[in-house]
Amino acid sequence: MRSGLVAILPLALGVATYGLAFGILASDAGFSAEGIGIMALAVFAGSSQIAAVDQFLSTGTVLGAALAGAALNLRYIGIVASVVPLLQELPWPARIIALQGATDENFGLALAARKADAAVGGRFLLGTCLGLMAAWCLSTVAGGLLGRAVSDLDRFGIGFAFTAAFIAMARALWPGRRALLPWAVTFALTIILMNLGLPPAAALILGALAGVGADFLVNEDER
Amino acid sequence: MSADHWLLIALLSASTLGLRAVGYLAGAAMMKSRFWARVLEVFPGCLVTAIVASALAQGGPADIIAAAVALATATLSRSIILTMLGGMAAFVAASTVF
Repeated sequence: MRSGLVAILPLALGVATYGLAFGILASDAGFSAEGIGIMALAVFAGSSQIAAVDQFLSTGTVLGAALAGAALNLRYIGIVASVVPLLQELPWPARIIALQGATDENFGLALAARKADAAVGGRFLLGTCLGLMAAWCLSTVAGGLLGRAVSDLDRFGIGFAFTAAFIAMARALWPGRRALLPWAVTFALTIILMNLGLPPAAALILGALAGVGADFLVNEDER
Repeated sequence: MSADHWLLIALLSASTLGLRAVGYLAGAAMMKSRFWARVLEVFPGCLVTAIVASALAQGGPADIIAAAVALATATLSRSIILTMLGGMAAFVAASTVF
């Protein structure tokens, strides 16, 4: 377990920086530091937390915000599926912690370490999970406390911070030219639906589904 | 914090845990299906694009300028923190003009 904890440290430092920024933004959306800490532990999915808080801040609707956050977490089905053999090596209480702690940052690291050394197993994964959970929870709470202490965050451009975070996520998720048309369809349709007066949550889910449909149409022969 | 804040945390937690449980119990079978593997691969990128589009649809010229700066920063640096800082700085600067 200690080797997993050590291996995840560089990534945990990056997550902590990101967590500090999220905590400040969540505080601006009306979440208390305690609430931010509980959300960090109970959800433990950074991009989905940002999506949900962003939608909550801009629309004020709980269901739409939760739907946007949950939709972004569909990728966890694939992430968790890839580490099931590692999870099954752990006793149930530790398995549940590692199941909750498997994220974009650590599942690839654990699988790569196992490929290099067959002795790496569930305890390594658990160590990476605990390291990331500690970094995410502590940094988001610290951000929440900092956000409460600093007034008038708008003068720092905080209103654009979420959008910038999503642009960075889009860059990280960019799979290459085959996404050009699906993402363009998504972008255009979402803006059209918003201008037609659809609620933002409905517009972005429909826009994203249209993008998936476009991918099926134009990239059929590439997979 | 209002009841809505707590409800959002509860719903988001339940849905995330549910999706992780689906991944544990049925993920391997779903990933063997070409249809579901492809949907799960493509959907997150499209959704993030849609979130950016919805934010820009509600914003003004300052948001569009800041988005262009953020996109350039993300492309060059691939750093989420630098992208956020670059976008926020551009937003503040553009807001003084528009």
